[in-house]
Order: sequence, then C-alpha cells, then structure tokens
Amino acid sequence: MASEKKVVFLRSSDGEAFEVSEEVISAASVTIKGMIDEESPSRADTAATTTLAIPNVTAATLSRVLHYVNKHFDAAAVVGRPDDYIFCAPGDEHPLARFDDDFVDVDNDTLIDLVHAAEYLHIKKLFDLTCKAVADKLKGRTIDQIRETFGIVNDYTVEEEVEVYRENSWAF
Amino acid sequence: MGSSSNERRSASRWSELPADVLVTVLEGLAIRDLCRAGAVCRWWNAASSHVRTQHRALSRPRTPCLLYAAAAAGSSSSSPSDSEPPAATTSAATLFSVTDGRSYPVPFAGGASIAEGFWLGASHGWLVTVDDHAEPHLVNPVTGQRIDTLPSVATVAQVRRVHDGEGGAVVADRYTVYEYNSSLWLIRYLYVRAIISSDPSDGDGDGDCVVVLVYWPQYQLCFARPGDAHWTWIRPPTENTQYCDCAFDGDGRTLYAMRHDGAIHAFDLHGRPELEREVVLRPQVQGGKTTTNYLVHAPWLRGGAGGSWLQVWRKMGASKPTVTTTTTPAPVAQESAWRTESISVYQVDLAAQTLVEIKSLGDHALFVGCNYSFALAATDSAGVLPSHVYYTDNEEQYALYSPECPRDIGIYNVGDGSFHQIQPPCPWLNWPLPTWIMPSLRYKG
Repeated sequence: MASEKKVVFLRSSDGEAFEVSEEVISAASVTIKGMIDEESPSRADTAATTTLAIPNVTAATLSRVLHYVNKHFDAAAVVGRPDDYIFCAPGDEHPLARFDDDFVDVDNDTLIDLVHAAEYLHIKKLFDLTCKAVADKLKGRTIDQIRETFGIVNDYTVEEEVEVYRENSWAF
Repeated sequence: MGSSSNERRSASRWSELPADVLVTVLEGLAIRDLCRAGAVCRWWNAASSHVRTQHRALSRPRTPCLLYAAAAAGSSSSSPSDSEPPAATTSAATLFSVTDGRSYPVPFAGGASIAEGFWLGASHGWLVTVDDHAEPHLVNPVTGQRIDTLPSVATVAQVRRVHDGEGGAVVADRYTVYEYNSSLWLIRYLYVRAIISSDPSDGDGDGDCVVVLVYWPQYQLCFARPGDAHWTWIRPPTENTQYCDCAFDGDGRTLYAMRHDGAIHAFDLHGRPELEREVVLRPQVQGGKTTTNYLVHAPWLRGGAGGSWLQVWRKMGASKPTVTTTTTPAPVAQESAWRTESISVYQVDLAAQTLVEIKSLGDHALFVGCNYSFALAATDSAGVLPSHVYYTDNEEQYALYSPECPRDIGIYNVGDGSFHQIQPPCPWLNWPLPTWIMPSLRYKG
C-alpha cells in the first residue's frame, strides 16, 4: 500500500495514449484486467509502464469511457461521500445517478460507440447503463419513429410485414 | 467522430447491433415497447423473439398484472405515446403492472354483454372466457390470440340440449342443467371457475394443456384439452364434491382439487387409468362454507409430493361503503358491497393431516381471486411486496351474480393483518371481474 500507484497506458485505435490507474481499470474492465494479467509475468518489477493497444475504441470514446471508469471505480475519488453500493440507503438517489444521466445524454453515434466500447472492454456497469439509455430512446416510440431515430431500414418482405403486424397489432 | 455526415454507416450499426447488446436493450422494455421495437426490422425481430421465448418476456422479471376493463375508453391510455390514436376502444382492456405501476392497453376485454365479460379464470397468461352461446374459449388478452378448439359446453356430462318437441331438432342455445334452459342461465349457473395446466402457447398442436372447469351443480370438476371431443367428468373419490379451487403441480401433470371443507384430492389426468386419484388431505372443517378458499402451489416449501401447498382462507362480509378513493366509481348497490375482513394462510402438513397457520410468506407473495392462484418470489419481481396476498374477487355468489357491484381488490399484509389499496392510473369497471394475470407474450404457431 505504500508503493506508488501503478499506471498503465491505453492506446486508442487512432493512436492516442491515455494514462489510467492499473487498479482502477482492472476493477472496471474484465478485458483489460485479462490483458494486464497476461502481461505481468513478463513485466519486471521496475518502473516500466505497460501500454495496451485498444484497437476497437477511438480516442474520443476511450476518453469518455475512462472518465466514467474513474468516477465509478476509483475508490480514492469517492472517499468521504457515500459510495454507490455500500452506504446508499434504500430510496436515496444513487450518488452517481446524476452523473450517469448526463453521461449518456449524448447523440446516437456517441451512444453506440459507448455501447460497443463497454461491450468490448467488458465493463458491465457501463454496458448496462448504455443499454438502458438505448432502451429509453425506444420507449413510447412508434415503429416508424424508431426507424427514423436510428436510421433503420424496413427490410421485411410484404408477407413478413403482414405477419409481424398481425402478431403485434395490439401494441401499435 | 460521430459526425452526422456518416449517416449510412451509423444506420447500419443500429440495425446490426450485436445480439447481446440488442437482447439487453430489449429486456429493459415494457411489453408494448418490446413489441414495437421488435417489429422495426428482421434482426430486431429475431432478437425480440429471443427475448420473448428464451426469457419468456414478461417472466423475466416476472410481471404480475391486474387485467380489467377500464372505465373510459380513450382516456385509458397512460402510455407515453400519446401522439398516436389510443389503442383503447370499446373492446380494449387494461393491464396494470404491479411492478412498474403503469397501465398498458391490450386488445381484448370481451364484449359488452354479461356473457362475453365472463372471465372464468386466468392461468399462464391466458383467459378462459365464454361466448354468447355459453361456449368456452381460450384467449390471450395481450396478443389477442384465441383458441377455439375446446369441446362444446353441450358435452359437459350434466348439460342436456333442449329438443324441439319429441324427437325434434335441437333448439339453439337451449340446454338443461336441472331447471336451467337458456344460454344466459347456463353461463351464469353452470360455470364457476376454469384453470389451465400450462401455457397453451407451448407445444405444437392441440392437447398440450389441460383446461379444468369447476361447475355447478355441486361444484363438480371436468376437464378437456383443446381439440378434445368432449369434457371428461371427474368423479370424486367420495360422493361429496364441492370443489372450490384447484391447481396443478409444477409439471402440470397432477391436478390438486380442494373442497370447501379443506380436503385436497389429487388426480393424475395423464395417468393410466386416467383419473387415478388419491386423498391428499382429509377434511379440515365441518359445516357450511364460511370463507372463500384458495389453493396455491408453493414449491419453495419443499413439502414433498403434494406437500408444497398453501391454503388461503379469506373471510368476506357485507360492509358499509368506506369512502376511500375514486377507484370504485360505480355508486350502485353500495349497501351490498362485500369486503374482505381477514385472510388466513395455512401450510398443509401432510404427515399430521392438518393445516398450520403461518404468519409470514418469507420472500413470497400470493395472488388470489378469479384467476389461477399463484405465488412468486418478490426478488424476481421488483415492486411486489413480500409476504403479502394480492386479492381480487371470485366469491361466486357475490362476484359472479352481482356484475354491477363494486369489486374488492387490494393487498393484505400477512404479518400484521393490514390492508392496502391497489391504485391503477385509471379505475376498473366492475365487470368483467378484474383478474390477476401473468402475461404471456408467446404466440401459438
């Protein structure tokens, strides 16, 4: 515990490197924890830092993801205020609820980038949060509104469309 | 990145979301939104079908609902999609979800007539209804699908058609069950309740689920599968019938039927010989019927074969109307309103052949009334109160014969005996009888 904090560098698909606490990112991302564990036998006990390539995530998205990760998984950052799980009384608003709401209040392109990054990096909390944000965009929308919002093309044959509408007509 | 100049790429990314992402997204949706999102394109449709079938849609998390006809069509839609014409029409019903406190319009509510409003039971997401000719049907109120292959009411052992003169033609809609001889009388004085063994959407053909009728006279039982030629009369192991409720065990194979006196009989409806039966529990009380009793399968009790059962005894009595909220809109017949006075829950003790009253259901909640009484774990269903009994009407003297009377619907705390109200966004009509239902979104192929 007295030792200095270890850090790792994450290199985005477009070549930008980001520094993050090894402990924090390991707690957050199953994928990166796996990469670090794989690296560790070859790592000397020196100050040499590790740089991990994250080929599927751009700098813009990685920067957002790390902002989320530091907010949610850095124990030092939450000292002195109620931690999200431990001290949260039933009925209290989750202390990071406002942060989470703002975090996913983004355009559709940014949101889908975050979904993919959360999936690839295996950050469950972020994955659930972003999927819920997508679900929220679907709520109360008609089929045509959903298609328009997400630019989804109706690819049914006429027969298929008739069948789908027949089965679900009550919901439309 | 993420500029709007790349719309085509963005569009395809949404229509080609990885399966795990799409399934997670869709699982977060309420039923109506799930159906809409599932209809936008082939890939989303496949994902929503997966959510519906693999996860049984509303069963994960499990979503108990109160199904009822809403007071005002048109104003009954509480869904946020007010940009569209409301789906509610004169034939629409409302599904009030206990878990999120929201109401969803669904297509089916039966017709306006007393007959079409007869909901005999609601098991596994399906209603058993009767039409104007007293014929029983299965209807999924959420999908609107109907199964019309139950045998005719005329094949119930005690029902006789009326013929026109000696050897004459059958007179339509005329039957005899003792002194009753019209469809309406038949509907009102034959049917008591109906119970379904499993979700009729399961299986490929007819004959997978069993429908059991509790009927007059003498609270008898008969059963049939869709596609059967006739209803099969279940002769009780003793002369005394008076069955008030029945339920199936976990695999839907054995029927457990409870009498007013608390006795439980088991019938193997698939066995050879069919209808092999046994007395599971001896009578518990003597004398007349003083409470409305329900039989609830409680597999978590691990009481062994036939031992995982609860009996819920509900005492009702005429009460002066207590002015509560606006949830009972009809000002008629208030003096005859029945109210639940107390509810007792008993665990069946097979070894001692007695009932043991329990004052806690642990993590579970019970749903009883004119439905298939069921239990669920509150942990599987956010918003459901553990150790509470959710009740609606079914006491046939009052509920079935008094379509105009206020309904007694609420929540009872088993621990401290307190009552709580159910308050959907829009009030229920007194007829058809509001019923608890665990919706099924599956569609029988």
